[in-house]
Amino acid sequence: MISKLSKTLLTLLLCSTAAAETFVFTAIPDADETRLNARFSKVADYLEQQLGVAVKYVPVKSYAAAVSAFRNDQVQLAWFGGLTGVQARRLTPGSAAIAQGAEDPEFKSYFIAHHSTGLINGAQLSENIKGMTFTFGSKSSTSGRLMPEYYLQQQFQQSPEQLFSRVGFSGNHSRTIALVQSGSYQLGALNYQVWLKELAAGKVDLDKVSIIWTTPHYPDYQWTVRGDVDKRWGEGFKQKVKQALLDMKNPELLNAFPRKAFVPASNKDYQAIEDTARAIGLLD
Amino acid sequence: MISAPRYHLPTGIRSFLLLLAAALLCLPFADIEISNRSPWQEFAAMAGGFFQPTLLPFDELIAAIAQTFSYAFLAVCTAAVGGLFLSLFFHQLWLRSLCAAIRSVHELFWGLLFIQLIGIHPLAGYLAIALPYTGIFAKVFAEIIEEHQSQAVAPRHSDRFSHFFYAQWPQLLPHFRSYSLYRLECGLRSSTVLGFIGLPTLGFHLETAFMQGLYSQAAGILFIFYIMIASLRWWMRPTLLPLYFAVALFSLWGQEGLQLSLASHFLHDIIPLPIRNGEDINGILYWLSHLGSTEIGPGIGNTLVVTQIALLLTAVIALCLFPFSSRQFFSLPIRFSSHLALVILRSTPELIIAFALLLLLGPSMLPAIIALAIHNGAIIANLISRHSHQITLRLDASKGFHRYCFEIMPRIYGQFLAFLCYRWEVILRESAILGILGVHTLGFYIDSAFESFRLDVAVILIAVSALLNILVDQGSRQLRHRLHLRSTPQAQRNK
Amino acid sequence: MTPSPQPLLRLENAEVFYQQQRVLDEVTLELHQGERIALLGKSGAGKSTLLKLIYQHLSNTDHRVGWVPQQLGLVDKLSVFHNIYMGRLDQHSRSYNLINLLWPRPKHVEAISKLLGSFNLDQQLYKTVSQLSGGQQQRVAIARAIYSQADIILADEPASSLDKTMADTVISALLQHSEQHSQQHSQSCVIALHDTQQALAFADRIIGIQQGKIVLNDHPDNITPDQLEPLYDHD
Repeated sequence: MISKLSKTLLTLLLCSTAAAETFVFTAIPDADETRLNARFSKVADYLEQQLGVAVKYVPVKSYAAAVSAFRNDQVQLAWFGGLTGVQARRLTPGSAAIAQGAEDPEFKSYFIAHHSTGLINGAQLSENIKGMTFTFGSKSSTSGRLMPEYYLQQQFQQSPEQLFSRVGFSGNHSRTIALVQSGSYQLGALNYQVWLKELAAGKVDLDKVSIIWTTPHYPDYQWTVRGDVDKRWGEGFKQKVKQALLDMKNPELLNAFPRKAFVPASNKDYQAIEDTARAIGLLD
Repeated sequence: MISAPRYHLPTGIRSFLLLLAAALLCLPFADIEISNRSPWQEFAAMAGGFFQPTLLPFDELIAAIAQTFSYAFLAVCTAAVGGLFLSLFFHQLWLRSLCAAIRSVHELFWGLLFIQLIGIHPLAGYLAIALPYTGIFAKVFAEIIEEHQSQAVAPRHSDRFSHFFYAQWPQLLPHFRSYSLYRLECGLRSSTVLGFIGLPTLGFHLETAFMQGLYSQAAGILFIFYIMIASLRWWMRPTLLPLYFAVALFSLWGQEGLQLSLASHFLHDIIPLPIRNGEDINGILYWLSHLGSTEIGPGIGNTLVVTQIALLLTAVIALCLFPFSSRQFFSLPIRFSSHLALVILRSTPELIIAFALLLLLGPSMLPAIIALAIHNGAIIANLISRHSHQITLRLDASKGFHRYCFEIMPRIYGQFLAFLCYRWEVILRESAILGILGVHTLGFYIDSAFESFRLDVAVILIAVSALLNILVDQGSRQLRHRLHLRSTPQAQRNK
Repeated sequence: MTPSPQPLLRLENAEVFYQQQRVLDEVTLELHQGERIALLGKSGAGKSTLLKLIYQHLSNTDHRVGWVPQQLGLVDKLSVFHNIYMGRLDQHSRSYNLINLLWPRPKHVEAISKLLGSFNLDQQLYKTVSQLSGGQQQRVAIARAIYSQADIILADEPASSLDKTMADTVISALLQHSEQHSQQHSQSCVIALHDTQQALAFADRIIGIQQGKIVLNDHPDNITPDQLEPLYDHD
């Protein structure tokens, strides 16, 4: 507490002097939100060490807040989902996707169902889901909303509101599991990574909830950085950031995302996501 | 022989029947099922957590308390001063309308707007509370001044200000002070609720804890919140104001710099899309009618459905609960515990109650309706139980049920209806807000618009909700007038 | 009519303190069935206190007491009908009373309008009490006590805001009802008054109070004007 106070005081005192700017990043709150600080501050420490500038993580409460913070230059680097990344780059000219998880080029969503529906895993969604209750994750989630909605449209030629008796937004992927598991919703769709992580953590009761369909692959999460970072932290800074991310090998750090490793990415990897979002009316 | 007088239902009963009819009419359109298949399991988990509260890590807790307090304190202080200044010119129609407009938009909507405008910056949270509160302060202070106008002896030839400060100030001050203290309590609630949309107050951690099912931690945060509110009168001393001011400024200051360049983004984004795209009038009309049929219409409909059912339930809860706190019915131990329960219920923001109920009962309008009814019912119950203490009963007054129906009810009913009318507008505003939790009221569509960065849509929807609020406010004023209910600031102050 | 040997109530050396002041001092008193008692005394002498004391003692017995307090205690927002109906709440079930509160039954309407007729109030049946004048309200309070079918009526200055003629009418209406009633039950009444003439006209016993003490307790025929002299306020 004291150190924090004195740090703040110091910042205040140094305000006028040309102190090096802090490089700030955030991540969309897509799953377990507890101790976000604890989880991501290690990543901040790692980046600080690699980049040689002060790095700070700020938590946000919603997907939209992450995009706003990025657009408003309150963060310069963000771990976005496919759709939020597209939104952020549209709103912030010059920004670029620089890295994605090794799993992200071939990402997928799971459709899950409460056991009382009697639905079982199949190569296609059962016609019986019509009239049931259904929950997405966050409104701006790629794996929890955009792609599931897209594939539902593809198969049934109906909007979710027409297809289901009730459509909800749980807020995040962990919450989707919890709500379907408790029977609040009969069906849900979510990020497969979060499902696997929660399953491994013993938080999924397979007697109550199970996978009924897996979507085809699509690109998802990525790191996006603002275009003006080179100007502020020196030439080549963007490249340094990218390299630091690609070099991240410590499983403890990678587990915060959770990814096996990071690989290079570019804006055009997400053109398909943008087209899909436009097709179902999530982008104007 | 002259014909015998004919019996008519008293107007009070008739207005209640009207309320009942409105709620029944809304019922077929209401989505009120308990969709959670194992609510008891969730309830057990919640209750378990409630009885074993755990605290946040110390540094996070202190920071969250400081932030909660700072937003509330700074916003209420400045809003009080601003409101006082505006109240001196409150006879101007444009000013009255402006104040009505800014207070008809809920703090949370202001918060969402300001976050778009300046990002998650302390100023956004501060303005989200300060702005609507200034409108409320201006109105209430003007009412208090008006109430005392006739009593003040004015020295002649004095200008408006010296007249105000010399002749009226001394007798107005206690009223201003007690109302400001009450507003500070509201401010703490608002500042907590703003945590739900990302400001680092207690609500931020509360939402996380609830979301993850960490009910012990949620209970811990709630208890801290109750303690803050309950001890307010004890630590809020005039002599300590400068100290608090410094602390509040310090804890909000010195974070990120303010990017005013964002304002231009914002101004660009709130221009309706077809105009931005240079479409003709047909394009604009098509866009508007599409918005009307997919979002505005259903949003207004659902908001009204939730409001009317919640209003009826509020009335029922208030009438059922108040005897337990009333001297006319129960002895001290029962009254004390009932009073404590009412204080807890009314201190808890609707959003938090609804959120807990959502986890418990599953998604539908039910959590929102119950939350609104519990919170507002507790407020009214508390007010009318206090009101009932002024009644002196005859020695031979009946007891129990008969006393309730024949002696007390008729005497408090007018006040009760007046309070209910005031809460009508508040309930409407909150119904809209609860959309953020997934009920398809206006707030749901507003939240969605912000999520997809359609600020033009968000601003239109917020304007619609403000307009709806002003309409209901007018309606309730007319109703009070028709029922000859007292509408002094005394009642208003208990908002 | 002879008083029954078993008294309705017996007070012996009763004392009442109010804020450390003795307001009733060693009061000893017997009330019998069918008696009409006038309570005389200056304001502040302890008449109201004595009436309350009597009320409290009687309410612990199974006698029905009709109570007409000085502050009437009517429910302003309720109609005259309902205020009078309240005299008999304990004779019906809760649900029955609740229905009558919302929609009066003809049976009770008829009985109560008849009663109101004798107080010249039958057109005010459904007016709320707040719409009535002070004198009308006083009459409603008395009507309520009569309607309650009490064995004894305790009235504290029931005619104080009525003019002389109306006061006489009201008192005689009260007595008349108690007489009709008495044919079956022999109703008693204790009425605190400040008008000695009225008291002498109806009472078969006069109790005089002075500074909390009973100074007079006798049949009107045995009372001299000298004895009455300290018992009323000289305006």
